[in-house]
Amino acid sequence: MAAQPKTLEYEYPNYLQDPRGIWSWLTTIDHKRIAILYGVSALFFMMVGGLEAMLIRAQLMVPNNHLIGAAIYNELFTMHGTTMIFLVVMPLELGFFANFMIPLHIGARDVAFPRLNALSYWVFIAGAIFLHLGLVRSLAGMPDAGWFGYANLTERMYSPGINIDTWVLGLLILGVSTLLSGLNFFVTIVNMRAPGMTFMRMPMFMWAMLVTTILILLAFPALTVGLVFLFADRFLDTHFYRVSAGATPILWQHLFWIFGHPEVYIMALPAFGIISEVITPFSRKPLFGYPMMAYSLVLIAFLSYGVWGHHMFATGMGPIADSTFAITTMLIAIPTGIKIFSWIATVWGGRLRFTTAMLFTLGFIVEFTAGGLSGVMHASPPVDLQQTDSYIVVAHFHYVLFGGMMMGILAGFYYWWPKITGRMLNETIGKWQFWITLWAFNGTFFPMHFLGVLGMPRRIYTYAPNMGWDFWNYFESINAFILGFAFLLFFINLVWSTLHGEHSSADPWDGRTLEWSIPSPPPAFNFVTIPMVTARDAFWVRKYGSVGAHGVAPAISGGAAAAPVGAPAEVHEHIHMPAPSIYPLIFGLGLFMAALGCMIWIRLILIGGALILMSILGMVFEYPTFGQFNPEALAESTLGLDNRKLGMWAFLGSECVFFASLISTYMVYKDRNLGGFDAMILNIPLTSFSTFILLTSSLLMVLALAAVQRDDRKWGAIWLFGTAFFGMIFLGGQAYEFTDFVLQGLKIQTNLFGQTFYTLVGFHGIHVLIGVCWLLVLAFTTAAGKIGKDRSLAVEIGGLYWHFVDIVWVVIFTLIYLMRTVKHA
Amino acid sequence: MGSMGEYSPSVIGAILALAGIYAGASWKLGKRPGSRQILALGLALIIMCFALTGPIDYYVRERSFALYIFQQMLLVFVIPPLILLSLPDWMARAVFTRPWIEPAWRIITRPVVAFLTFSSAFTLIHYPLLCDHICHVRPPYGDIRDLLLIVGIVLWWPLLSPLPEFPRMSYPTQIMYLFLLMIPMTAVAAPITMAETVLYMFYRVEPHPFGLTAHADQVLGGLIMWVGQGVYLMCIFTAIFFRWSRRDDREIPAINLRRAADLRIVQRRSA
Repeated sequence: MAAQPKTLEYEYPNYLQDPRGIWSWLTTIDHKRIAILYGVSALFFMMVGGLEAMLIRAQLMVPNNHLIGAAIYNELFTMHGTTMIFLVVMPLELGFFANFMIPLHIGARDVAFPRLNALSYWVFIAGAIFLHLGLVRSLAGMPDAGWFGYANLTERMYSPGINIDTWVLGLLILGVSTLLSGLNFFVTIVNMRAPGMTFMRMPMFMWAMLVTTILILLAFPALTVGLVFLFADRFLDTHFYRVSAGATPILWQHLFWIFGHPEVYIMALPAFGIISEVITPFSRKPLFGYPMMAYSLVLIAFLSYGVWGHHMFATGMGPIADSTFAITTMLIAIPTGIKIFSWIATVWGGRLRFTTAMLFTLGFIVEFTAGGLSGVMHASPPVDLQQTDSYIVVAHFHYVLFGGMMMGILAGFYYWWPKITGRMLNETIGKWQFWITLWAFNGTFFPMHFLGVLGMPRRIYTYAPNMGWDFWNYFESINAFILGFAFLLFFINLVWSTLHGEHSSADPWDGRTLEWSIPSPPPAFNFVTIPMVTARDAFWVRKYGSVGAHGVAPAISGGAAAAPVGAPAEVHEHIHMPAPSIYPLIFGLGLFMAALGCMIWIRLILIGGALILMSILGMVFEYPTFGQFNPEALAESTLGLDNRKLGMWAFLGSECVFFASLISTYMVYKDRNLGGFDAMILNIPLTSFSTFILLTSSLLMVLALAAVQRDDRKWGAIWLFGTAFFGMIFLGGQAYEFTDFVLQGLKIQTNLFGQTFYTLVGFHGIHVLIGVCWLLVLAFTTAAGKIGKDRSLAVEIGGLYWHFVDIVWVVIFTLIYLMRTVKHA
Repeated sequence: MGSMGEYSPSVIGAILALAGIYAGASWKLGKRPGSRQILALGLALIIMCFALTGPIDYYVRERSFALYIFQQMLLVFVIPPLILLSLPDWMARAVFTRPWIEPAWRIITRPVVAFLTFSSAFTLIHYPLLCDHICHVRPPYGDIRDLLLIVGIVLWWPLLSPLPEFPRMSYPTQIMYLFLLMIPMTAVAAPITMAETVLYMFYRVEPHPFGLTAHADQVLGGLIMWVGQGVYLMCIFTAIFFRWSRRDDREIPAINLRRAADLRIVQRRSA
C-alpha cells in the first residue's frame, strides 16, 4: 500500500467517468453502475431502518412510555424488520457486492443479462417505494403486522387499512426483483467463468453466491404463493387463511417459513463469502480447507429446506414433526461449525494485519458464533416453547443478522471500497467505528438475553415498571444510540473518503483474486483481455508464481498487472459492450403503476400493463441480435450453452416450486372444504379434449422448431401459428369451463375448493396466455421472414417455455381432474 | 401368513436367476468382471434378499407401513446403484446398444426424462386414491417391487452409467440432480408424515406390528422416506462432492512459495 499522492492515470476511462450525466445512470446496464445504484439506495434505507430502530429503543427506554404510542410502534418494528431484510441486507449483499464482484471475480465483462440486471434494480426501487407508500396518506399508514405478516392478523377484517396492502404488493414486487437477480447471477457464475476457472478454483465468495442464487430460485416462489393468497384474501374476498371457511392460518406460516428459513441463508451465505475473501489477504494465507468450505455451503443449502418448522414449534405441530425439525435444525449447525473452524484455522499462524476490514471479519466470527449457539438452543422444542416470543429470540437473530451479516457487510465495505471508488476508506475513523460498534452492539443486544429469560415479551410497545426490566432496557437504549453514532461515523467516512480519501492503487491489500488485477476503479469493460486462470487464488499465483506439478504458473493474460513488465499494453481486442437501455426503468414504472392500480384506480393496472408490455417488446427488439446465435459468446461460455437457454431452464426450475406450492395447497384444502361445490363439478370430457389439444400443440411446437432450424420460414410460421391457435383453443375451453362454473354459482369466494381451484388453474391459464402471446410474436416475426436458422434460438426458448406449461398441465389434469376425490371436513 | 423364517421361493428364484444371468452373460461373452463389480453384485443380491424375504417381508405382509417404506427405499436408492456398479461395460453394451433398445434407452435416461419418470412413478404409487383402488385388499407387492427397481435403475443411470457411450453427468450436475430429487421426495413424504389420519385403506386395520398404532406406523414410514432418504442422499452427495474436489485439486499447483515481486499497473504511457 505505497502512498499514492495523486490520481493514477489509466489507459482507459473508468466506469464512473464515462459516460457522464444523469441520463447515463438512468439507462445504465453496466453491472458496476447498477451496483452503485443499489448501494446508494440500500445505504439510504439503512439510515431509515436505523432511525426506526432508534425510535423503537427510545420508546422502550423507560417503562410506561408513551413517546410514540402503540400504533406507530407496530409500524416501526414491522418496517424495521422488512426494511433491514429486503431493503438493506439483501440489496447490499446481492445488488451491491455480488453485482459488482461476480464478473470481476470470475473474469467476465458483465453479468449474463445486463438489461435484466438494470430491470431488477428498477423493480427493486418500485417495490421499496411501494412499501413506504402508506406515508403519503398519513403517518399511520405503514405496514404494521410484523415482517412475517402472520395470518390472520393480515386479513382485511383485522387490518382494514392500506397498511397491509402496500406490504403485500411491495413484497410481491421485491420478490420479482430478487428472483430475476438470482437467475441472472446464477447463469453468470455457471456459464461466464474465464477459461480455466473451474468451480474448484472460484473464489469462495462465488461459491457462496452460486448457492445463494439456487436458494433464491427455489425459495422465493413459496413466498410469492403465500403473498398471492393473501392478496386474494384482501382484494378478492377469498378465505385462504380464514378459519371460518375451513382454512387455516397456519398455511401462511408454512409457506412463509419454507421461504423464510432459506431466506436466512440467502442473507447469511453472501456474508460468509465476503468474510472468506477478506480473511485471506489479511492473514496472508490461502483459505483453510477450501473444499470443506464449499461443501459446507452446499450442505447448508440442502438442509435449509428441511428446517422451516423450527419457526413454528409454538403452533402445535405435534411431537413427531417437532422432533424432526429439531434434529434437522441441529444438523445444520455442523456445516456452519465447519466454516467457523476453517476461518479460525485460516487466521491461525497467519501474518495478520489488523485493518478495519479484518477487525470486522474477526468481529463477525465471534458475534456470529454467539448467535449461532443461541440458535442451537432454540432448536430444542421444549426450550423453544419457553423462549419463543420473548426478547431472547430478538437477541438471537440480531446476533445473527447484525453480528453476522452486518459485520460481514461492513468488512466488505472497507475491503472493496478502494476497488469500487478508487479511494481508500479512512482507517482511523474505521477503527473507531469498529470498536464503538463492537461495544454498542453487544451493549444493545446482549442484555436482551437476560430480558428474555426474565420474561419480557417481544412486540410490546411498553411495559410496567419494577418487573426487573427497567435497568437493562435503559442500558440497551443508551447503547442503541451509541450504535447509531457508530453508523454516523461510517456514513461520514463514506462521504469524506470518497471525496478526499487517499487514492488507492489497483491492489492495495495484496489481494488474491482477479478483481485486484485491474485498475481501481475498473474500466467499463473490466478486463482488457479475459484472463486465463491456472489456479485457485488466480491473481496471487500470477503475482508470486508457484512451483507445483506444472512448474511455474504461466502468466495470466488479463488485466493491467498481468501485462508482462515493459511489454506494450496495446495488444487488446476490440471490445463491444451492449448499449444502454431505458426500458428497464419503464418496466419498473409500469409495475409500480399496475400495483398502485390495485389499490386506488383499477384502470391504472391497464396503463401499467401497457408500459410493461411496451418495455418487454422494446427490450426484445432493441438490439438487432435478438434470438441470434452468437458463436463468439458461445465459444467463450463455460458450458458451451447459450446463456438465454440456461436462464430459461433456471426460470423453469423456479416455476416448478411455484406450481408445487399451488398444487400442495389445493391438495391440503380440498379435504378441508366445508361443503358446497367440490371436485365433482369438474367437466372431465371437455377438459380431456382441451388437454389433448394442448398436447398436440406441443407436437406442433416441435415441428415449428424443426422447420425454423432448417431455415424453412414459411412452415416455421405456419406451425407457430398452429401452436398459438391450439393454445387459444385451450384457453377458450378454460374460459368456457370457468364461465360455466360461475353460472352454476361457484365463484372464487364460494369455498375452499373454488379458491384453490381458480388460483391454480387460473395461474396455469395465465402462463398459457403469456405463452400464446409469445408464440404469436414469434409467428408474426417468422412470417415477416425475420426468424430463420440464425435466430432459431428465439423459437427454441419459447418452445422450452411452452413444453413446460404443457407438462404442468398434465400434472394438474392428472391430480386435480382424473384423480379427484371428494371428502368433506 | 407364513412364519418369520419363511423365504418366498419366487424372490429367491429371481435373485438366483439374476446371478445366473450375470454369470451366464460373462461366460458367453468370454470376459470376467472385475472383483469390485462382482462384489457390488453380491452386495446388491444380499440386500435384495434381506429386503424382499425373511423378517422384513413377513412384517410388511403383516401391515408394517414403516418397513414397507424401508423396503421401498432399499429398492430405489440402494439396490439400483449397486446393480449399475456391478455391470461391466461390455455386458451393459451387449444389452443396451441393441438397435431396438438403444434409442429408447437414450431418451429415457436423459437426466430430465429419467428424473421425471422416477418422480411421477414414485408419486403415483403413493397417491392414496390409486393405492386404495388397486390394492385395497393387499398391495400388489411383486409388481410394485419390479416397478421400483426399474425406475430406480432409470433414476441412477445418469449418475452411474456403466457405458462410455452414455456418458455420466458431470459432478456438479450430479449434485444438482440429487438436490432437486429432494422436491418430489419431500412432496410425497411430508404429506404422509404430517397427515392427521391414516391415508391408505389397507393400513387402517389395527394392530400393526411392533405395538404401533396405524397412525404412528404411518408417521414412522413417512419419516423414513423423508429424513432417512434425505440423510442417505446427503452421504452420496458428499462422496460425489469430494471426488469432484479431489479431481479439480490435482490440477492446482501449490501456492504461496515465492516472495513478492513488484507489481505494475498499466499507466498512461503518452504522459
